[in-house]
Order: sequence, then C-alpha cells, then structure tokens
Amino acid sequence: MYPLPDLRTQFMQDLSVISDAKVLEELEVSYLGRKGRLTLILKSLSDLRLEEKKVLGPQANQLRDDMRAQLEEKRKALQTEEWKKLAQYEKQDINALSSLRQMTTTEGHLHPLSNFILKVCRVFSDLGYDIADGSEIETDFYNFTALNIPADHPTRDDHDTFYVEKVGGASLKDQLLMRTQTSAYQVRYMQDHKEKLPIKVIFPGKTYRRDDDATHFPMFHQFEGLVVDKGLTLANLKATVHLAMQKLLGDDVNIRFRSSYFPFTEPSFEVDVTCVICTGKGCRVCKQTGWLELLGAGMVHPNVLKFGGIDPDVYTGFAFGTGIERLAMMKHAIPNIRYLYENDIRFLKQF
Amino acid sequence: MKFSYNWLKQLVDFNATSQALADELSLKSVEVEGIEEMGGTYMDTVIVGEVTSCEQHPDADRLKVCRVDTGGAMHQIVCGSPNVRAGIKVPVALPGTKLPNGEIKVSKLRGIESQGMICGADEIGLGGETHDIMTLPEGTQVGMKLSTLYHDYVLDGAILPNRGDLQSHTGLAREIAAIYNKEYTEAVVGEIQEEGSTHDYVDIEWRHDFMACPLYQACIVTNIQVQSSPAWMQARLMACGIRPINNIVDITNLVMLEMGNPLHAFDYSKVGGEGRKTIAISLSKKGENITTLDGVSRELPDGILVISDLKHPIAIAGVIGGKDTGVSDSTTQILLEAAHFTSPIIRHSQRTLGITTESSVRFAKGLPIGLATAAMERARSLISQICPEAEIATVEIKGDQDQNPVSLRVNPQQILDFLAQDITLTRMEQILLSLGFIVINDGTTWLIQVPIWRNDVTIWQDIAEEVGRIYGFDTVPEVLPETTTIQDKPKIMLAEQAVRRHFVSAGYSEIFTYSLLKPELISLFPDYQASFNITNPLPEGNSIPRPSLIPGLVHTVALNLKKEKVLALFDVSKVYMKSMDPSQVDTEPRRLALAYTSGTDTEWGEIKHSLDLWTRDAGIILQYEATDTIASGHPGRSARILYNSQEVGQTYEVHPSILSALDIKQRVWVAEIDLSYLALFLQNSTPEFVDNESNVVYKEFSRYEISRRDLAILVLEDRDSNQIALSISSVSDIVTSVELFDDYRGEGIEKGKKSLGFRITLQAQDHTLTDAEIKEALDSIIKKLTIDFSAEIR
Repeated sequence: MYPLPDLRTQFMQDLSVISDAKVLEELEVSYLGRKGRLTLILKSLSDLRLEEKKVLGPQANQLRDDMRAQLEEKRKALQTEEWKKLAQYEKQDINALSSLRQMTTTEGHLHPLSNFILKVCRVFSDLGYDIADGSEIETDFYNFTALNIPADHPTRDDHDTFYVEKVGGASLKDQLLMRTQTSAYQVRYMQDHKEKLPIKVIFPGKTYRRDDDATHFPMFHQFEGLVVDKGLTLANLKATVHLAMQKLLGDDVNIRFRSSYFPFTEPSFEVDVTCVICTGKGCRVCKQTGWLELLGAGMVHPNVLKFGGIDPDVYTGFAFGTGIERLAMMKHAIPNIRYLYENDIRFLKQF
Repeated sequence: MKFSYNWLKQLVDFNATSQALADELSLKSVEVEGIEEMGGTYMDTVIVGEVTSCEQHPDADRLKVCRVDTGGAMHQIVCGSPNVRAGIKVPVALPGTKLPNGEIKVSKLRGIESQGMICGADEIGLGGETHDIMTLPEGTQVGMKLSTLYHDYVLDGAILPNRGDLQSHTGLAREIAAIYNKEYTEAVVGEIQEEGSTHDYVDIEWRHDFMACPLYQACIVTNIQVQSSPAWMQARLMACGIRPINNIVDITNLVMLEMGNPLHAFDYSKVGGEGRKTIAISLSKKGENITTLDGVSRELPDGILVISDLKHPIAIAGVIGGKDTGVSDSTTQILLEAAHFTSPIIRHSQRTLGITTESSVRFAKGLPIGLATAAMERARSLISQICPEAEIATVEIKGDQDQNPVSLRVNPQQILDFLAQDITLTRMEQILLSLGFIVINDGTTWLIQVPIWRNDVTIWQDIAEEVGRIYGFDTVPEVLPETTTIQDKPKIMLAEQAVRRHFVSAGYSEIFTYSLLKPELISLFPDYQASFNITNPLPEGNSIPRPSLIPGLVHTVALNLKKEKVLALFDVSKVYMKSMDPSQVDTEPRRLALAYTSGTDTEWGEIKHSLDLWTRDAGIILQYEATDTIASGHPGRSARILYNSQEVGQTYEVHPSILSALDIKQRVWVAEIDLSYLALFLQNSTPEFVDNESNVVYKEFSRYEISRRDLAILVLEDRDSNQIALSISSVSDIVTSVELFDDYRGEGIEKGKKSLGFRITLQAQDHTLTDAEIKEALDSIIKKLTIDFSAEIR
C-alpha cells in the first residue's frame, strides 16, 4: 500500500533525465508540492495504526529529506552547467568593445586618509626628507629585537601582535608578524644606508595591532621620521618636530616634550601639541589641558644604531612618529576610526 | 598607581598644590592622569562620635536607636546598619552637613527623632560599596573633624615601564625632592627586640629555577593580637584605594605603598606540616587547586610560580595569597614573607590566570632586588610599634640579595652638548646627587655610581636623560639640523599618487580596505590563494593577509549597493605574497584595483574605457587577451592584461556564483593591475607629492535602514515634474530623495495627460522606519499631490 522504495526509484529515475531548471521545479512540485506524491503519503500516515506509523513515518520522512537534498544538488549542477554556457551565450570580445564609451557619471573622491598621507609626504619632502615605507609583514627581529626590545621585554605585552605562520621551522628571529609600528623599518633602512650616511627619511605606512574596540581598529597608519648624522642634539629633534607639526596642523601650534620611555630611544619623549580644537584654551577633547598627546620621539638608542651597523660613538640619531588616523580624524571632525575603513559611499562622497 | 598628596608632603617638604605637583611630575617623571579629592569639604562637618548605647527601635525591626557622644554633646540617631553597636567610634554627620547624596536634617524615622546620621565609608567619599557604617579605630579622638584624619588629594600616576623604582611613595618622593631641590625622608626603621629564630620554625627551599625568585626572606612573629590598625594607617591605605583589613595585613600593604616591595603574611598555624615547617618556591602542576584571598577557587595550570607547604600551594607567588592561610581575627602567629619575584614569571602568572593585583603589577614592572630586605625591616619595625606585645624572630634570608652597583664613566661636556640645554656642570652634579647617584669628579670625565634601585640606567644617554628631565626639557632650544641627503622620492609612491589622482578625476572613489581577510571571503574567489595565515586572528576571523585587492573591493561593492546603484570604486594598496627567494622577507607588490557597476549590461566597455584613458595619460599601451581560465570571472568576459607581453593584471565580470554568494543582484566589473612592475614605465607621475587643501567637516548621516517606494501618478501634461518631486520631498523629513524614473504619455493614457513614476527614498536619522510610518508618509504625499496637482494615483 505504501511502496516507498518504488517511489524512491521512480524519483531518482525522473531526476536523472532532467537538464532544465524549469522541469526540475515541476518535478519538485509533483513529489513534494502540496498535492505531491510523497506529500499525500505523509498526510495519509495519520490514519494508520500506531505500529505501522512507527515503521513508515521515519522512512517517509527520510525519503523526503533525501529528495530535497537530491533536488538541491541537481539545482546546483544545473546552475553550474548554466554558468558554463555563459562562455558562449554572453561572450564579449574585450578588444572589440568601443573604448570611447563614457561611463554613467559618478563623482570621484580621494579618501581622507590618502590625502593626509600625501600631505605628510609633501611636507617632509619639502623639508628635504627621503620617503620610504618598508614591509608590513616583518620579522620579529626587526619589529622588536633590533629596536632594543628583546624576547620577554614587557613592551611586547603591550603590542598585541598578529603573528604570521611561516612554513618550515622558523626561529624567533625569523618569526613573521604584521609590523606593530613603522619603527620596524628603522634598522633595515640603516643597514641599507650605513655606507651612505647621513639618513633623513620618513616612513609612512600601515601597522597592525590585535586590538579591536570602540577606539581601535586592528589596522592603522603611522609615520616615522628618522635622522642619523654626526652631532645631532635634542635641540635638532625639538626644532624638527615643532616645524613638522606647524606644517601639518597650522603655524600657531606649539609643542612640549614630556619625559617618557621607549626602548629604542634614549632619552624618550611624549610630545604634546597645542590642542587644535580649542587652540590651547582648554576643551573636552584635550581634557581642559590645552594640549594633545600626539607623538612619540627621542634620540635613537645606541643599541639600535649598532644593530643598523652604525657606530654610536660617531653618529647620533633622532626619531619621531605618530598615528595618521587621529590627525585625519581631527582635521575632518570624524568621530569614529571605523568610518575610515567602512568605505560607506555616503562617507567617501563627503571628501 | 595612586599616590597620596599628604603622604608625599610628609616625605618631602615642598610647597606646591596638588595640581602644580601633578603638572611638574607629568613633564619630568610620572604622567599624572588625574587628581581626586578624597573626602570633600563636607568632611569638616563630619565628626568622630562614640556610640554609647544602641537600642532596638520599638516599631522597626531593622532600625536601632543610638545615643552618640560627639564630645560635649549627645545626639539621638536612628541607624539602620546591621553592624552598629555600643562602644564603637563612628563618623557622624550632624544636621546641616551637605553630603554628596544630600543634606542631613533632623527627621523622624518611624516616630523617633534622629539628629544626624552615622555614615558609611562610601557615603563620605572614602570608597567602598558596603552598606555597613564605618567603624573608626578605637583610639580615635571623639569630636575630631574627619577631615583632619582623612582629607587628601590622590594623584593617579602612570609609571613608565622602566621605572619600577617609582612604584612607591618613597620612590616618588625622591623624584619630587630632586625636582624641587629639597631633601626627602626615608622610612624609619626603629630598634627591633628580636626573640627566637625563624630558622627554628621554617625551612625554605627552591623546587624551581632560582632565577624566578632569587631572594626569599621569612620572619616568624608570635603572640600577635589581630585588631584594626590606627586611623593614620587606614587613611593612607584608603587614599591609595586599599581597604583596611587588620593591623597585620594593613602593615604589609602600607609598606608596599611606602617602599614598593609587596609583602605577604601567612597564618603560620595554618601552614601545613608538623614541627619545623617547609615553605617551597615551586611551579604549579596542572590540576592543583587554591582558593585565593578574594574567595575564588582557582584550578592552576602547569608552570605558575607558587609558594607551597609540603602538600598544597598556599599562595600564587607575588600575586595573591591563599584564603586558608590568610591572617584572620584568630591568628596569633604569622610568617611574614618579603621576597623578590622577577618580572617575566609574574607577567606569566598575570597573563595565564587573568589576575592583576597591587602586588602583581609591582613585581611585573620589575623591582630593585635589595628592596625586599629594606621592606622586611620596615614591616618588622612597624609591627613592633603597632603590636608591642608581639615577639619578632630573626629573619631567615635565603638567596642572593647582593647587588653590585653599576658605575659609568661619562664625559659631562658630551652630555651637555647632547642635551643642548643651558645647564652648568654644578647644577648637573647636584641633580644627579639628589637622585641618589654618586659622582666622582675627575675633571674632564666623571665616574658615576648608579643607585641600586636604578637598574634602568646603563649608558651615558640615560644619565643625560636624568639631568635633562629634572632640569626641564622646556629649556631645550630649537635648532634645525643641517643634515641633507640626495633626496630619494620613490617612483612607485609618486606613481601611486598619480594613479589615485587619475581615477578620482575619472569618477572613481578611493576606498581603504582592511588588509586581513576572512577565509570565507577569499574562498569565493578561486584564483587567489592565501600565502600566509595569521596564527592568532581576532575572534572576528580576519586571518589572511590578502593576496589580491579584488575580494575586499567586491565585498565593499556589495555593502554599498544597498545604498547606491551606480558605483565606481578603486583601491591602491599592497598585497602579500610569498617570496621565491628564501633569504627575502616576503614580497608586497602594490596593486591598483577598480570596480564598476551600474545595473546595466555593458559595463566592461566602461572599465576598459577608464583603463584606456589612464594608459593614454600614462604613455603606455596595454594588451587584453581573452581567457576562460579565470575562475572568479565570467567565462566569456575575462581577460588577462599584458604589458610588453608580460601579464600585469586581469579584468573580468565577476562570476555569477560570487555575486550570488554576496547577494549582489547586478553585474560587477573589476580590474586589478600590478603597479610595482608597471610603475617603471609610467610617464605621467609628477615629481612632487601634492595633497588637496581640504577643509571638509564630516557630517553624520543616518545609518538606519533605507526604504524605497515607487509611486505612479496621472497628471495633466503641462504639470512640471520637478515641482511635483519638490512637493513630495516637502511632505516629511523622512523623505530623503525623490527621483523621476518614468515619464510616459501615449497609448493607454488619456489624451492631454501623462503618467509619472517617482522613486521615493525614505529614511530616519535615529531609527529604522516602521511600515506604519512609511504608510503614513505615503498617504500624506498622495493627499498633497491630489490637492495641489489634481493627481490621480495609478
């Protein structure tokens, strides 16, 4: 009375000959539709005695699931077939296309970060700096050890590093990572230029930290300035940072150095810059201090010069760096770092 | 880390307000992130009272009626706190006192008059969240203003990672003394009457690397009476955010705040073992358990440094003690521990167990090793002072406490030149002396002995920093360096700039996409194989440094198609490849990627048009070679892009399987070109970097769902469709745009009339529109059009 195995065989047979999506749909209706052959069987089960129900119920349900799976698989196969045919049906010869065709007009916009990076490059280029950017995937050695941050140094805990797998047994020295700071390029650059001193360069570029919350995005941009020459002093560093900040943020900005610590500079400073929102009068953004903590800076640590192949008894250096997002956000009053990476057209169009 | 202004003033006689001190420290020593006043001015009208009697309230189970003596006056006060009782000293706010929560008034509570309030610590700004009233130490003088005891300013200082020596009031006092050119007072160690030897009570042994704990000292103290500590001590602790517990625990905490080295007191009778007991410095074994003082039962993994008795861990070394061996009211014998645990092992414990304590942060930052010895002596001295009945045994010292002071030979003139500040040699020497350095002046060079607590000072530049910062970096003049190089403006970066400018002017908008992609996204594009994986991605799962810009670009298209139908986007960025040369760090070629979509069928011509314009501008010729081997591309609409017969990129219509997976319902065309190679040949790069002078102020837009409705109307032919569109816009704020998409007259339309189709976009600034709101807006629109334009709705 309920020839389920026969129905299965019949279904498989019907399915195997189908080569058209429309016919496939009809087949589905004829078995599983409201009055489909299997649907009717499933409905009639309720009239059966309990023992029969216990046997036939699961079998019928199983068959229904199998049919659905088969139909889905067939549908995909047909779709794939259909897509293959596109090669002929929809073929376009690119070389025959009219190259004069105008596109439906849209207005183009330069991303605000891009523009700010250009500004950094322009300002420092005007001041006679070389521009270089280095690799974003770096080794542990250049990102940490060569910057006077040996294994187990507490600074490593704060950097929340993304590590990159390297096939083959890599030692810690060669361990790959997403660089956590543009300073990672310092020692490579020194090694490449130790025969061509002095050095006067800016590294703008992407950096990464494993940090994702309201005020952090795991990718961000920094720029780092590095100068290595004979007889450089704190006065040279201070004048350079002040002038650069004036060029980037406005002639009126002032700076102040606060004693700080970075493993790769000695002495080290946090550099505060006159709050550009309130021009130093005190506001919410600068917590009423009139200052914004914007840069890290310092005199290059002799160990770092040594790693770069430069004699610290002959040469001194200074370095300074900052995050670019924060500067661009301040400039355009962008309230959330995420907006820079969402690429929402309604955001992009404003710039 | 919190510092008490009163305490610092007690250690150094300086004349600066808390704000002036904070400003000075922030520039020269420790960044002060905030100042909090402890116990506001109202503390002048909160006074010490003694509860002389405490009776049950006749009409309320939870209330007590107390008689409180405030020295010269008696007050009847109704109190609801369970711990109020006769004989205790309490803070009393008399009527008229304005507390943070309101003014105290004479009032009736269930019919009984209450003339004031007995306060909890939280109610008078001394911290804590308990509902209990605050019990003051027994010896506190009745009638005294609470401000005399507790008013203070608390400075929250961010200690630099290399300055473990500043994690104490003594350490900071030393800096303040140097800054203001004053003397500072060292913690006093009085004479200690020793009785017995700790060695007879306990054996100390190492079951782990000596390096993690190079020094362990223990001292047995017997005949102790555990009670509350004196008010001055409690005030110091509370200022620094530590709750007073009892005299012994408070002494260990006070010494930590004062000198920096954390201490721990075990109840000796609770330490396992008979007779002479064993204290072992060992590593935990997986599965071992300890319930710590905070009441949390913790199962330990392998490798945490613990202090154990013969059977169990009794403390997580340097982090937190065990509850079972903690000091309680019934304790009479303690084992006082003053040890040196090194930074790496304690940081490991913090990370692995996810606990940080006042103790662990200090060890984690690193402390001078000899500090433990000084802290032990100070603690014993305080015990003999606060608990005169206690019997203090000689200290058992195990390990190495010797530290050889480091000496540096420096050239003072070199330092002055380097700093460029106007400092005299005399002032320089004076600064160093005030910081504890010993200077042997040999004329042109100085031999400087570094104090043992300053293990961060190892090179002459460190000496320069000490001198420069205390003198003040504001005195550094500004002199631009004369350094010049043969300037290198990398062609590739100039080329990127030119590419960006070109495509912006050609109508493309630049996007900045995240370099790390989700595997699910990349797997949609069979042509792009991941070269690398991030081993520790964030939970959101972006784990692959992108091998191509296309997946991120198409994903961005998908997100934006919900807002606009015509999109022209480009991305100029690096992609990440494995290098063929094993000596190289892997390579990061720069790419240009374009996407174009408009909902029509002929867009390949448009993207090709854009590329042709660009190459013409850049003076190069690209060839296109049709192919059906790009799996991410439409098999009939894919091409390789060649320059000088070398493949430099691809362009294709995105394969329908990818579009369907990303829920994109229109054709999308892309191109990706390798700029690293092509840049060598591009002609149009400007020799300089140029940015746009942009003063755009970003305007927030609504991020809520957009709804679209089409409306077809019939009007007289002479009606102006712009007027009608304007009229629709004016109906409601939620109508954000109106677009005419159909203007038809002729067959099927009554002569003299036309049919207009408007697409209406609706969106609210602050929420997602409901169907009812949309319907209401449409009804108003229809009503208005019917009246103003005699429109018929079709």
